[in-house]
Amino acid sequence: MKTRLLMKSSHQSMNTTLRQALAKYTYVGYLAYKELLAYPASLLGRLAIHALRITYLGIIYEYVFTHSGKSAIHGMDALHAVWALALVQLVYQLTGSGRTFKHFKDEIISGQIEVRLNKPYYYPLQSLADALGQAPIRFVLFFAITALVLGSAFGMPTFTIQQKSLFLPLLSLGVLLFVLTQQLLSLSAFWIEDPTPAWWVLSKIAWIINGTFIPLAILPAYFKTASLLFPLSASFFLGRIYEITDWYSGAKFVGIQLLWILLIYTAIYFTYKQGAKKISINGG
Amino acid sequence: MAQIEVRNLTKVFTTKIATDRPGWFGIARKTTKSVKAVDGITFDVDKGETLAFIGPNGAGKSTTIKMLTGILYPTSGSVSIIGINPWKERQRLAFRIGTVFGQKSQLSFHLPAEDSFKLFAKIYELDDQVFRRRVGELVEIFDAKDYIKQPLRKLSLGQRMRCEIIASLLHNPEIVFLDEPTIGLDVVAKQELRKVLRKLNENYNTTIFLTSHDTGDIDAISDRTIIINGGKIVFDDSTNNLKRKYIKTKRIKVRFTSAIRDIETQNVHISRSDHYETELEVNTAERTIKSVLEEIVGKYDIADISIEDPSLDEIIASIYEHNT
Ligand SMILES: Nc1ncnc2c1ncn2[C@@H]1O[C@H](COP(=O)(O)OP(=O)(O)OP(=O)(O)O)[C@@H](O)[C@H]1O
Ligand SMILES: [Mg+2]
Repeated sequence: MKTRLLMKSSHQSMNTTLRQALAKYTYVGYLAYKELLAYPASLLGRLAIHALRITYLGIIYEYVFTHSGKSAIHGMDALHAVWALALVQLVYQLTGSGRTFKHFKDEIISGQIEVRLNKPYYYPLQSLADALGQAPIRFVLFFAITALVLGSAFGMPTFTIQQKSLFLPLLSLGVLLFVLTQQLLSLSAFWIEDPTPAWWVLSKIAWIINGTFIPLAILPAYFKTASLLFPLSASFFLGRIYEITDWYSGAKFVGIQLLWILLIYTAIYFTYKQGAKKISINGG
Repeated sequence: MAQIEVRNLTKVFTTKIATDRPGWFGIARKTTKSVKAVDGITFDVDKGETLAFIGPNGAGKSTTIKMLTGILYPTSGSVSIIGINPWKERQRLAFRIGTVFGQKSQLSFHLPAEDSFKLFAKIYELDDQVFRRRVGELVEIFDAKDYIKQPLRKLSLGQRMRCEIIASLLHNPEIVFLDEPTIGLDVVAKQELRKVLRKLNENYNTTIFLTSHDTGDIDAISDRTIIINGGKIVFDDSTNNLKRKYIKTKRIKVRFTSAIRDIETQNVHISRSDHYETELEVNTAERTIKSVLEEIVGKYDIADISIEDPSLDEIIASIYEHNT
């Protein structure tokens, strides 16, 4: 009797703890969403730049495809190549173009991270919640403008059933992975003076090998291989959705994403622990 | 058992510094240097005390507060706050104490303080009703109703600081640690902040542990003062005793409307003087400020007059003088 009571109460408190933890991070996300809406002009500006960027890249793609004299290169036509590039951009925009990296790194460099240490929350999760809180609204807006611009200029793409059902997993895992990668990189600010150049180079490499500037279809095959091996690239697998021909090839992309997420989260866990210890012991 | 117990607390920082000798590619070689930021301090604080922890720049105030709140590990020594070891149980302690860092904001810069308060309610796992009542009370005490709905970036420094302090008090902490809460505030804002901190202590019996390098803060807020210099405690006693023993002098600055040849008063030390301006040091044990003022105002045409406390440096100098 007594043990059963005990078990019940510990079970309940586990639930409460979980609920409270969830409430914390959900509210962090909600505030990030409010913060985004607090600056409508900057959001509109970003939407406009996104629309312009995909339009002019679309025009170049169409030109390249038309002048190659082929309707499809390596099995991909101009329309889908344009959409693939826009989807890479979409993942990038959903995370606020490197916002997490910038915030996290600034907190470390300025020492602001110290006041995070004595709050009853786990800072990397707080930062993650902050990033993910903005993602849904960004998705609605950026997807709408992408469909509007590309749809009217080039047409809408078609998706197979596998592609349709893997769209959201590839997107959300991609966004999650991209945010985590940014966190891991910014954590290096505990040891090196400023990781910004590294971030800059890596994110551009990720773009290139995922076909943001030049369609992956017309690049040599080793770009595709490189993209499979590079963690930041896996964030942008949504851009390779048209390579999914059956469930197996789709599962491969999702599986690689999950693997990287696991690896990078583990790395964050240990790096953050070391970093916090470093502040505590040396004073940063 | 005292609420705060600090024993032989020491913190040594080791930092890399550049030397004059050039190394590879002309990049200066680095060597490590140790700084003893806090050097074996010991004290107790009881529940409901108001303590000013003061000292000049670099004295070790922030370092001490960071160790007491679990942000920094000490090099040696021990601390117990409400029976909790801060760096071993940082999060558990966080539920019981409030912290305010004058130079580091804990609130969202882009949103109204009210939103950040709601976030704090979730972070500190407060019941909705409890939270609403508490916010109501604090906003009233801090007279902050008019601006908690405005984005933080639109507030003055004084208003922002009040919001920071409200945020740190939402979970009804037993102790609040404030690191330089009055820094950068103008005279009026300083006075008002001091008043509300005092009120907070009176209303809730919250222990106040405050650092500052402003002697004015001591007088207004704290019954007890610890002075730290070079990482060591040089004074720990009631604020009244500090004033009685070491803040015996007041400085009066007088500006005259017309040139004065020589100022003549008794029992007053003239520390600086020209024809239009003079600076007097009055030992309040020997003469009251009132009588000096009356005399000067009666004798001369005054354009401006101000009365100041001696600076912290002077107080520390006189403590050293007294001790040797
Ligand atoms: N993270 C750090 N790394 C190396 N040295 C540090 C670090 N933090 C503080 N110190 C050194 O420790 C000493 C005490 O610094 P601390 O910040 O505690 O002083 P303080 O009393 O708060 O001064 P202030 O009034 O300027 O805020 C200083 O000599 C400072 O240079
Ligand atoms: Mg300080």
